[in-house]
Amino acid sequence: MTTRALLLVCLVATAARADGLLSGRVTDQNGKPVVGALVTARHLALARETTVYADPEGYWAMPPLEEGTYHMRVRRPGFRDRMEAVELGTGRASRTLVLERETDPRELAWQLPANRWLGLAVAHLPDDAAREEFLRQCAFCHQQGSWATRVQRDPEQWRKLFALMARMGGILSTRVRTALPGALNAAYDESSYVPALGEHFTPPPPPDAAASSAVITEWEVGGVGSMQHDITVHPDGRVYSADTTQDKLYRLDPRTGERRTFDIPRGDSPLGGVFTTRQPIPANADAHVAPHSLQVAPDGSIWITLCLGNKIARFDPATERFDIFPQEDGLYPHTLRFDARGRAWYTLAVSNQVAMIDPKTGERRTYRLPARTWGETFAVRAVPWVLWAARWVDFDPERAGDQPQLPIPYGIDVAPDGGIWFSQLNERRIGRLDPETGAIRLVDTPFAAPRRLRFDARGNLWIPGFSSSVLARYDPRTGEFRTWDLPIEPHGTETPYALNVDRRTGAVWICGNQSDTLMRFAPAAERFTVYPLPTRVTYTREIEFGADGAVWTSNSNLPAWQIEGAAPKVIRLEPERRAPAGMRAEAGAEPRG
Amino acid sequence: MGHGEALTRLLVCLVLAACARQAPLPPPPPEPSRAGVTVTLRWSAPVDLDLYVTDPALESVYFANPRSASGGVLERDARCADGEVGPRTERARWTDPPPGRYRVGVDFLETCSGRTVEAPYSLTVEIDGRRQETRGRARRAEREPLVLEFTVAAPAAGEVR
Repeated sequence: MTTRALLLVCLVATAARADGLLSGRVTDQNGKPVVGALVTARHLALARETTVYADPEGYWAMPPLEEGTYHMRVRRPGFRDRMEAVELGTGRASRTLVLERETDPRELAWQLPANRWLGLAVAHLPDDAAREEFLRQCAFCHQQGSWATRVQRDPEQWRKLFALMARMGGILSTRVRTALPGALNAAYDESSYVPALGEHFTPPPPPDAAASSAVITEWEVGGVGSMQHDITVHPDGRVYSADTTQDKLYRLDPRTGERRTFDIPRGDSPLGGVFTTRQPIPANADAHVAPHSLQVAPDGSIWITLCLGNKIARFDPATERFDIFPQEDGLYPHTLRFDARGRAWYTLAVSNQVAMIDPKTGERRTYRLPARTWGETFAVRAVPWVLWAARWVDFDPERAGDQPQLPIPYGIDVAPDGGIWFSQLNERRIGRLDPETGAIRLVDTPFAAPRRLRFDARGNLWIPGFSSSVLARYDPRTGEFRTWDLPIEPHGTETPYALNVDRRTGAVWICGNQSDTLMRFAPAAERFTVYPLPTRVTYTREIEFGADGAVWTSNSNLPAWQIEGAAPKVIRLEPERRAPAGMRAEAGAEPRG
Repeated sequence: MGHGEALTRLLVCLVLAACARQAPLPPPPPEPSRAGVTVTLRWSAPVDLDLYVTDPALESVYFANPRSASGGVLERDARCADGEVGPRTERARWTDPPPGRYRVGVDFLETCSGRTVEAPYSLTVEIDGRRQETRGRARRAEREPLVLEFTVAAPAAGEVR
């Protein structure tokens, strides 16, 4: 256990269990309510932040919080952040927080989420194909348009940056690589963004009434060198997350705040794993095996894909020991899901395969997926050879952008009928693998970049279109697609990495990677609800649900130093956690029905 | 691209790699001692090497992130477009370095001209005036993530760095 984790355990154990109640109102300087203001209370010792939204009258109420010192931050685009410290005891405390309007156009622009800036950049690209390629290839590690990426550079430095990113998989065609420096420099010039975003400032809309009772809790997990890729919620209530760049498995107990860190065995995997000759990892990474996706098996163990180590790991929460299973056939174990028989199915992203491991019998299978063209088939088959030869021969990944691309099987899920469905990110298609016969059926998608897909309880497949900024539903019985534009303005600037369906309610939850949001879609009403998240540069890749209906995700922007506060976080959104009775009245609100 | 063509390209690349000229490493010029931490990468081959210094918090200072939250600054990013002939230098510096472990890496991103596939370099680390030097060879399109590491001690009580 790390020193930090021990400290946290001690702090939690010694903390008084009596909770304090904190509520209040947010107004502007004229006493008018600031609707949708995010009120955040940060408990320094627990490295945890709790956030609620101000309601239409400006009232807010925190859930019960531990006694202690809190740093409060109130935020709403269009106003200056307000910060103050609060000593919370076991009683009730009330605060009226007055926000000052921000009038500096440049500062106003800088308050806006990355997608607004991204909108300026894509407007300078020559056509839709270039925009799609830019989003698919340049927005899968980090936001585009965040404070760290909305940077003007000279052409030479852009060229170097593209070469560096190509090594990490962000491979652009010559056409887009040529157009991008001018587009990005034009978008991020003060003469462009100040009028567009500051002088014509339009704040993101406040959360609507359906979101107003939500509570968001963020726990710092990992550090500046972490890429906290995926999370999973264990039936015992603890949450596990995978640190891809530091080879760690974290466990958070949200009831106590305790964090534990487990080192994933590296065996003989070198830095960079099987891709060591390419070193496709950032300079601050210490990734030999790179845990990526993780899920809880029916027996309560945690199964993890180790993408660079080319292995699968099993972690036993009872013994806290790992078992490691090398992936002999295929490359890059990616996203993993269990079927009803307890078998783990996962995509092998680089070798264009789907694999299965049966924990009960040890049986393993791999299925090679079709590529669209002969060139792609050759590219897939050539990867192991390239990795081997790269020890002696220089292969320029930059030039690969003009060559046939790898199909990249990405998301995977199990249909209610047991069929295994997957997406091929670069192919604009999804497919079904029959787990009994191995037969594969492919379906073209009417949108680009299908990413992490999930089934609902009725057998509909929900798919995020990463570079097409859409939510899609596919009905395998009828073969029909239906798509909805995501409700993020300007349209086309959101890149949904993942989604999940809460099978109890049927609601679809979607990652808002560029807009610092989570989105909820109610299929029956065909209605979106947008939940702004409190931390700037929140980039999420997976959504899971707790037994209590809470929505869990993690902030995994890479690099983590671009995240506000420079700390990756595990995030819980409780959609319906209302304030305790009397809290809003305590703050001065009229009782509501 | 057929298998035959690919094999031909492989053979050509191997031959070129074997024949590539290796530029000699220049002697490091004397520099005045400075407080704090300075990491200097020097080479003379017509290539673009990049210096990466990762601070104890695990933030890296390099050409695309020239300033870190810990106060690290990449003072100079040498590039092919500079058109320099002769010695090239990249330097990262902390005037008030946080204590802890620092990691230094070197990346050979591209060749400026010719077909140089290997470039000798020297790395100099200076901590509060104490200097140590390491020499190495960078290979084309390879990043050496950990050429060396060093530790900055926490200041003793009452000490002002």
